Amino acid sequence: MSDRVAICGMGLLGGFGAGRNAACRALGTGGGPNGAVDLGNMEGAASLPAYIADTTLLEQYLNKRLLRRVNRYSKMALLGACLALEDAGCGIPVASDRVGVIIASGYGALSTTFEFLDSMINDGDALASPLLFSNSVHSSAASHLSILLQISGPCLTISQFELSGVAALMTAYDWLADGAADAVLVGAVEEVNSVMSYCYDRFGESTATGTMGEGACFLLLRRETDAVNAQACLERVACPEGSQLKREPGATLVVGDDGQPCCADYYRSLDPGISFASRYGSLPSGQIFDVAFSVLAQQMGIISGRVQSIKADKEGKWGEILIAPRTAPARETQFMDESHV
Amino acid sequence: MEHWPRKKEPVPVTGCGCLCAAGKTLSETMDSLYAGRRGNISFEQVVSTHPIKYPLFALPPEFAPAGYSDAPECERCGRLAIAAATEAVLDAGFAPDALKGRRVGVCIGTTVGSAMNNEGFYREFRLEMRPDVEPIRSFLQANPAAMVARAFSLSGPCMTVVNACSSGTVAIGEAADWIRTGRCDLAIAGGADMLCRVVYNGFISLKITDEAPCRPFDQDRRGLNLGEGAGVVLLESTASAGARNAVPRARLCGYGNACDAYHPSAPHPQAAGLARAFDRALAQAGIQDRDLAFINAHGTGTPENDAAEGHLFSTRFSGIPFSSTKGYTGHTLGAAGGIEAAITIACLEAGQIPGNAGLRTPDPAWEAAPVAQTTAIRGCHAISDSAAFGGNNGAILFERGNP
Repeated sequence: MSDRVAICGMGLLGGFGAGRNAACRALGTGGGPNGAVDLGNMEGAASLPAYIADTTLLEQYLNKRLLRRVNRYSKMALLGACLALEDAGCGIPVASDRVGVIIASGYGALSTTFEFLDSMINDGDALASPLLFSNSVHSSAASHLSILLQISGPCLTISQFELSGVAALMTAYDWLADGAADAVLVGAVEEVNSVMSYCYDRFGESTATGTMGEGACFLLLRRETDAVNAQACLERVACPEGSQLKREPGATLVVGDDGQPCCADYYRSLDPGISFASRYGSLPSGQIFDVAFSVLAQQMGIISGRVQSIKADKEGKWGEILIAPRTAPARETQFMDESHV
Repeated sequence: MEHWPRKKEPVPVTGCGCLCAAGKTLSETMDSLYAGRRGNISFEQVVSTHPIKYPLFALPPEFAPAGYSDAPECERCGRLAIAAATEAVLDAGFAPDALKGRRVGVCIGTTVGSAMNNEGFYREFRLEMRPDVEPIRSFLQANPAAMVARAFSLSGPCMTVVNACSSGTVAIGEAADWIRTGRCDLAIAGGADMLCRVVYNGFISLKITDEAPCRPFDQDRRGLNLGEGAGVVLLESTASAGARNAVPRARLCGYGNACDAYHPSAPHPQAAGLARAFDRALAQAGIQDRDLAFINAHGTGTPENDAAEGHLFSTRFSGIPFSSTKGYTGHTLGAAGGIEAAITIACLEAGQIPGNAGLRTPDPAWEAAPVAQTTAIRGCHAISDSAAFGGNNGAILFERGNP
């Protein structure tokens, strides 16, 4: 088996809009924040600019009635996943136990977490909301994906701040390599709210910060040997030890520099690279957005050849993803349940 | 090439550690379990205005790691993980600083440890008091896997799994794959979670919390009791363990992860996803259902969870002894899979499993019933399983170190 993993579909939403065309437009224009988030009605405070996602499009894929109890964090994930499946030419729902789900999120369902606290504070401990509680866990988005898209293979949610994205892709790579799944939906999901806006504002008192971003970015990954219409391939996904980046000859360097001061020194120490963060904003699991924007840039001819994507965390650790442009299609395989084998 | 679940190379477990309400170490925990002694139960550990005080399996102060009670609340999960990891590392024959410079990964499951739910900060925020953001800075430093990596000066792969209650089991399974694929030579893997009032109120709101000490698999069970603690195993490549003549306590032979795709907060009634997780773990180990010496059940004591597991054990694993240890430890959420992995290994070594605490009348709805007393087992393989909110299921299969 080739040890490469094919990207067969991509689904993105964020401040740039939702879907491939919106992301391509942002690549062309350079992007920028499309909204603002208030700071929680603090005296004298107003709001901070932010990249805000719109999930309205989700109702084109899933019945509105099914979404009644789904929070915004999970709606972003669902829309990203549906867009990726559609982009790959897959049906919705998936209905397979040979498909896995991996979600990367630095902060999880932030708004629901605080809404649950609101329910405790406003109504008393004894009247805290069970619906908000069960939707506040980080894994709620993966659960809704599994249930509403009928995906019953392996499932994982990872929260490792800036290294969440590379950890998710590394795991997907391994699942495909050892046959734990035939396809994996890997996605980044982040949400902004007024608490985060306040924190950004306070952190920004001492040093410049990035511009908050939210949204979701999903990739449908398959083994290269099983993939039709592969859009690109992941050749390497790793968290190398040591601080020294080994530059890949001929590859364009894409850095996850989203304005966070904790990682700025590391990025400055590298060769000049491209950052796509002005399209999606500052968000911890942004490396998956970088992968998708890199593939789009390859397809649009903005980048030729391979991309070496780097994302660092505040402790000096970093993740590396090597992305090769599309390759010739191989044979098609359908998702099959284990019981059919 | 065949991609369906297949036999995989076993991964040696050369060290184990755990702390929970039943014991400060794995050895103390096993003493409590075999004696039929429930862990420390507190009704005061968490402050809540709820009219009923629910029992909690809390760490007694003397069990807590040094500096634990003075640490910011968001750091406590990480500190519990470090304590269990230290026991596992020492158990494996390493000095605490001996892992530095080696290729060591960290994979820790948690629930509370990754939640930005600092209530004090948020109350001040709501009151427009411009709260100090130091609790948020602390939270950003308190990722449990990162804390463990820092404590042991490790630079290998690092991942915090937040699959809710299956997190610890899944973390161990994923870390084993890191060893097999050569991403690292050793991995500190398990789970850690702590008691806090947000989660306490949350579980009460779901109406799945028992007002009495929990009674897994009993016909009168009313729900779970929360607990806290951490459980960690040290996974090591065969080459690394062989090079230092380390004798494995066990080998991780199989891991399964599968979803119910059924309901956001209730398990599939026939345990469809859990059964597939078992299938995958057994296939990786290359053994049959009948080869299992016992099953360490998730067994939370909630009506739905135990019904799903009871159905599976009756219809598929009839005659295989099983028990839940949550009657001793409480449900430690993301830590449960780590603690129960360590307990499973200790049971394989001892050749006996503890009685299912809280069991008075086995639920007649199923043919299978957990063991009521400490029971000898035959065989050298066992599964520990976990199930989570949203229908994620994990199962890890161990073989005794000296089969």
